[in-house]
Amino acid sequence: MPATTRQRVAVLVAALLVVLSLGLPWTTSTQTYVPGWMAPSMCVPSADGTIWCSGAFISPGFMTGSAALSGAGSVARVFLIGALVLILVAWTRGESRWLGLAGAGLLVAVLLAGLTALGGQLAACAAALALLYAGLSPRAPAPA
Amino acid sequence: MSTADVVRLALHIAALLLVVLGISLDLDDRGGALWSDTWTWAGFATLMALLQGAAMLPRTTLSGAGWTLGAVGAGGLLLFWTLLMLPMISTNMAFLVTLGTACATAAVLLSPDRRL
Repeated sequence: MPATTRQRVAVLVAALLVVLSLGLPWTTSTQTYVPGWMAPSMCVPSADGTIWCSGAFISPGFMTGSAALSGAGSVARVFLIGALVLILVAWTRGESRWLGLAGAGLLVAVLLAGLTALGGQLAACAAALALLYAGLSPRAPAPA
Repeated sequence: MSTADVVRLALHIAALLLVVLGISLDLDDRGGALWSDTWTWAGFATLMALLQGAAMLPRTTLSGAGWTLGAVGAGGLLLFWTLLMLPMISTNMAFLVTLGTACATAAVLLSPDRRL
């Protein structure tokens, strides 16, 4: 468990923000619709009185690109869950160095996912700052 | 057997049942269970669900490595949950596996032999 009350509050807030980040959007949708096309059949009368017709071609439209992803759906979920595990380890062992590592991991996750400044990334950044504060701030002096 | 031991035993058994049932039943009408889609991941999850129960073994067995093996099992379940279940968290299968993983993690953390 972190040493001071401020550090404990910062760690709890960070854990809550990480859980929230799992459900908030991380990437925007890049889906675009590629419209279909059609080449109609064409008929030409022949000299012998018959009619020759070409084939008709139809290409259906389709969607391309990726849909918008939440934290749980993007690759950042590995870092988010990893941060939660590190917070648990730091809390149970009373070793604040794991908190700094968790915060750094969250910042790496934001960079790897691509900066979009969406809710999930903002929550992850806020959690990272709280974890870095709790991990790097000095410990309370030992009682005499 | 103390009350704490009974609780831990119940958590280990619940973890095993929930994970195995979650990946073995077609609860979401997907046309098959996880075993028919990716049997390797299903086998991995089943192995980890069995391994997490090693944390319940007495200290005298396996040269005292029971808790470590149980922690590896719970960690493996957490990895499986993160990589495969989290993106489909709204499904029935993911719900059961989530509960199972939580039971395994809690059982390992509540063990008196805990080293972490």
